[in-house]
Amino acid sequence: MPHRISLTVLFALLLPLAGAAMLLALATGSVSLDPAEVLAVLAGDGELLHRTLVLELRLPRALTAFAIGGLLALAGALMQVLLRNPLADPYVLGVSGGAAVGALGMLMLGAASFWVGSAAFTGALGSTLLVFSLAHGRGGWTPTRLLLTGVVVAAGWGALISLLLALGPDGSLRSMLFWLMGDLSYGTSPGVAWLVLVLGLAALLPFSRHLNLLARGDLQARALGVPVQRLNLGIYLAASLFTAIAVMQGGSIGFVGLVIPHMLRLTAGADHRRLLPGVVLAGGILLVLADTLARTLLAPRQLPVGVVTAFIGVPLFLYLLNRSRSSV
Amino acid sequence: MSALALRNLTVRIAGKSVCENLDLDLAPGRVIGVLGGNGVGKTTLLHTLAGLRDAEGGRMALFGEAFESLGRRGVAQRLALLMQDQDDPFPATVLETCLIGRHPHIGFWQWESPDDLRIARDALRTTGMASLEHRDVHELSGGERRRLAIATVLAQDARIILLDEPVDQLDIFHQMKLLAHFARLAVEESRLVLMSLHDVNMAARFCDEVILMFGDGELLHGETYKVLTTANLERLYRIPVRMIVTEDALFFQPG
Repeated sequence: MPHRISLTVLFALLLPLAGAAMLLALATGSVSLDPAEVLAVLAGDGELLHRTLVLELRLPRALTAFAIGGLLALAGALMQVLLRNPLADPYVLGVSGGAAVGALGMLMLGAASFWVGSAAFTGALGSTLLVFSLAHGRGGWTPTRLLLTGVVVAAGWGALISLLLALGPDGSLRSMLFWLMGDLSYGTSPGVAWLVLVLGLAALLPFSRHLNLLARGDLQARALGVPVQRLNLGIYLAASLFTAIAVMQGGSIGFVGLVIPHMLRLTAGADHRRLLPGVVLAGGILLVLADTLARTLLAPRQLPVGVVTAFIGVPLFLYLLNRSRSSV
Repeated sequence: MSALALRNLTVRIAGKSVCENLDLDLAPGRVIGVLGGNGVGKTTLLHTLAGLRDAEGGRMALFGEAFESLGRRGVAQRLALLMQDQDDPFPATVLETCLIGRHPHIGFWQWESPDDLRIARDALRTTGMASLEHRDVHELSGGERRRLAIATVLAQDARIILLDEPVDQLDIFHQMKLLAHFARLAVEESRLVLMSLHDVNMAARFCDEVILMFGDGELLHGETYKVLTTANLERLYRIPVRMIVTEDALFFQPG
């Protein structure tokens, strides 16, 4: 008998965890602070050095990490429903591939980070439109058709990425690789990501009961009165936008969008009214912790945060997969 | 007033004719069986009646209201469809699954009310699933999953109930119990039950009317005792059929 925790318990667990993760991110780094000192800074006091460290360096980055983690987890949950496939992630339809080609192109040219981000965003949305129009073809699109189209387009982007890496000048290779593995050191302006995250979640929540039905298949959902085509389109566009914003700021950070929705389904059930807010919090927590590790493990060197999420995500996912096989 | 009225309905699938210019009036309070071989379009017909696919032509009305004017949600409040199979890619409990049947009756901003929960639990009890309400759907047997799908349809509480091979995966106890329940829903609550069946004897026992689908677009509709003849069944299934008459029932057997 699967044990499901209630909405209240879920948030009673996740909210303090989110606070603790943020506090940890603000306290650790080249100069370690204790929680009291961090809280003093947040309250408006504290030494000048501490204020600079916390408010100008660590806070924007931690906030960016949280928003990106939330966006990726949310996009992953949506993609899994859209494709009716628990193994889908935000990147499965080639959004990150398109973004990577744009971003790497800019990095090759030595462009400023604003242009790298803009090119990533443009590439992501371009890839979304490409996959959508190709999958639509003649007649409607089914999850399988969309998935196949997306995977093939993603493979195409993959080849282009390899080509760019092969042609790239030595000087920019390192930053290109970091971008590909996910890197939050550009993430200094969390405003846009937070805006999209909050508005996106607020817009999706009223539809979460519809998502519950959609997860059982197009026909079943339509038989129960859900306007499936409009909903599918909305989910697809929302998930693509979330992913585009996330990769624009952090590169293609893996595993958050795949693993977090699974963790939440196994603990809180698949009801999207719990799942959607839950994955936002859990995704944010995971990425804040992963980024804190990435900054501090080999300090002063920074690791790409995508490597850390993979280190956490791979064993976790294998464990979950193993567990689910025994129950099916 | 007829529960389901079809005018000039033409349905084709992959170039094959399912029905041509069909006029049909199905009254509430009746149980109607749809019989025919594999691939004659029973499922296609049921899906068309539920609005899941468009007809080539013709009009449909539910209780006198034009189908198009009802909207998807309006249709789902009046008409429930049991599909041939279910897909559960994600974990969910039995109760959660049954509750999705309440979706058309729950307002956009609302959560399931205690009433919805009561209706879903009643449906689970009717189908003998009450003791399993906390189980994950992935842990159910094929027959249990089927009974859960039937419970979901019952929870939808629609006046028109379309069932696509409802009892083929069930043991004989649950076949009898659930078909009797649907017959009772028709008689006592004047609902229309339209179901495709492969078991001619179950159709003879539980259906007031039958529709035979011959696969070339021709349909034969009428009172069960008039339409279920050896001649019609031999034509329908292309095998010799023997009829056995007892004092209170008709039986058919491949001859």
